[in-house]
Amino acid sequence: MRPGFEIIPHTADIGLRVRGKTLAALFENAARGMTSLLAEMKGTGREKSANVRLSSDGPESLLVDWLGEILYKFTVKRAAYSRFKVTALSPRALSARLSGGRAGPGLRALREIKAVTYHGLKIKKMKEGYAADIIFDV
Amino acid sequence: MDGIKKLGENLWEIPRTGAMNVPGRVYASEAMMERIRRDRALEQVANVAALPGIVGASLAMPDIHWGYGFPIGGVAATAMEDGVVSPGGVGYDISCGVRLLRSNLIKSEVESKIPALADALFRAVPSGVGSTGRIHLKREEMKKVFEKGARWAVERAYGDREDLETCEEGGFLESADPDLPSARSVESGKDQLGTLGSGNHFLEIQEVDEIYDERTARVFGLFPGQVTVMVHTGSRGCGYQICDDYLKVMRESVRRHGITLPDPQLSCAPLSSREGREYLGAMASAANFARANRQAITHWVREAFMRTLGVGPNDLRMGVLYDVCHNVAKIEEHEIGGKRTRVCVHRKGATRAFPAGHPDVPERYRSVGQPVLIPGTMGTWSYVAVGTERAMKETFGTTCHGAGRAMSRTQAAKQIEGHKLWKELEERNISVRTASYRGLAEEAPFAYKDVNEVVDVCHQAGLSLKVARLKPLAVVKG
Repeated sequence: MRPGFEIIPHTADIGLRVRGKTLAALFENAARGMTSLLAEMKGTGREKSANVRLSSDGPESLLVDWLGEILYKFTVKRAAYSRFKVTALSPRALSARLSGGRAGPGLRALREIKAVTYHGLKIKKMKEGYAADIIFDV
Repeated sequence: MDGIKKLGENLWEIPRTGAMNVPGRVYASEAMMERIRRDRALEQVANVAALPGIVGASLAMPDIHWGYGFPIGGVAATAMEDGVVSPGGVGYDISCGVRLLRSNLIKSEVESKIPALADALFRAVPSGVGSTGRIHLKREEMKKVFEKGARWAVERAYGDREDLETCEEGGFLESADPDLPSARSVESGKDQLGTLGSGNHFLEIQEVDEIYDERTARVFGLFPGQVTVMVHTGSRGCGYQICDDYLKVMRESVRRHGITLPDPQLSCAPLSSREGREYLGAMASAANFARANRQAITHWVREAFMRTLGVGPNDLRMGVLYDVCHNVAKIEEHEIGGKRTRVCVHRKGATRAFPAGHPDVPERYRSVGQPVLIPGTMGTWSYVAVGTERAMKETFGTTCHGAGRAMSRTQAAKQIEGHKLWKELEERNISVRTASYRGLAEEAPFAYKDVNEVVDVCHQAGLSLKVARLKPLAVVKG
């Protein structure tokens, strides 16, 4: 089975090619992919969880906002999550549950992502599901 | 990309086609152009040419490479009446820039202390992913930083008033509106003032190892064997958030004003619109945060040197040679079609390079021109150059900003391990301190273009003239 995400080369920054059988799976895999670039989670203990609700002007900007929200929690709140469940999704709104979260010493930061860009971003509908290339400014 | 024409030894043109409002112009040697064609940077030059109200040409400096929206090394000037401002033409790291500190020290005096100085700098200046600093600010104080820039830092005893005299715009942009940055941008930046961050940001101890223009070097206060310190960082989390916030605003603006763009990352708003003006006010706030950031770091660099060497400020005489940003949009006056015209100049990974006599060049340097600071990669030289009339005529007073990446970070990290690179640099007498060996590998010198070639093309094209070369002695990487 093909993985839900893979790194694609970009001269200055980092890109991810993300796939999903459904749009919700695409969003979940994008979150897993970005988190794998940001941090390694280690240790045991109490896991953090959080709910996210977002609305935007279309599926591409919703994807940028979704990843931006997870990035904000990582860079400012210093928390990263390992499980992402999109519970409701329309082209302009999303509800999701983040769980398996770690913070503080349970988290090893790998790199700084400054932002999720819109560069060339297009969610493509294909025979086997959805795909998108996302470029991160690092 | 097809149809590219060679206009001169180091100048190429992408003819105006399709949605382009102006042609594209790229400064590069034949050999560099061969490599530039390999990624999507030229396509991005053509995309930028489609911005409404762009004047002259969509320009690219020799350090051009594929970015997001604009290419890195891209320059675009837009007309005040019918032009736009695009946050993508500035980037997320608003006012990322370089500051060079000169000193009274010569290398032979401090050679044995370089590793200890590298340790002291690594301890004094927080670096690495999401680094937080020694300064923690409440919202009201952040507003003062947004308003006053490096002046805020000097007023709080992080440096001297004299430092501001040799900073671009005296260390702060007057156009900042400190009420515009969002709560999230304040939250992102409040613990990050005085931090280096990660990626390509660095602190470097250097030696002036070659002088090309003695008169200008003298005016800049540079002499052979002199120890200098280079600071490369920007507006940290608050700049990223401000860019992100306004890209959303601009997406809506693009729809409302019926603007068609080849890449959503180029989202923009008319300069005459409320959202266009507000972006410039918020961007200037982040630019001021970046200036305060480099000023606070300057203070700790001085302290680290004095403590390690057991000297006082008069022995050290560590003054600011110049502080210049390479990610910014500015309203400037330029001659277009024989007429003085106000335009918004976007410089995305490109450095302002104003000539002798220009009123925006600090008085101390006005007889020779604005210092241009061009950082190399760790392990290679950096350069001090000077701005020219030719740059004013051809590139809205702009030149290159660094070596420019040639290889992706993932590829670089695959080719060398961080520890091995560290050892190689140490064997070449370059002390390296880093928060991340993987980060070090991603920034390996071979992942970049040859900085000498980039600087030489700008010199030959007359966009900036070489003044001095700086050799690295120690590098602190985030």
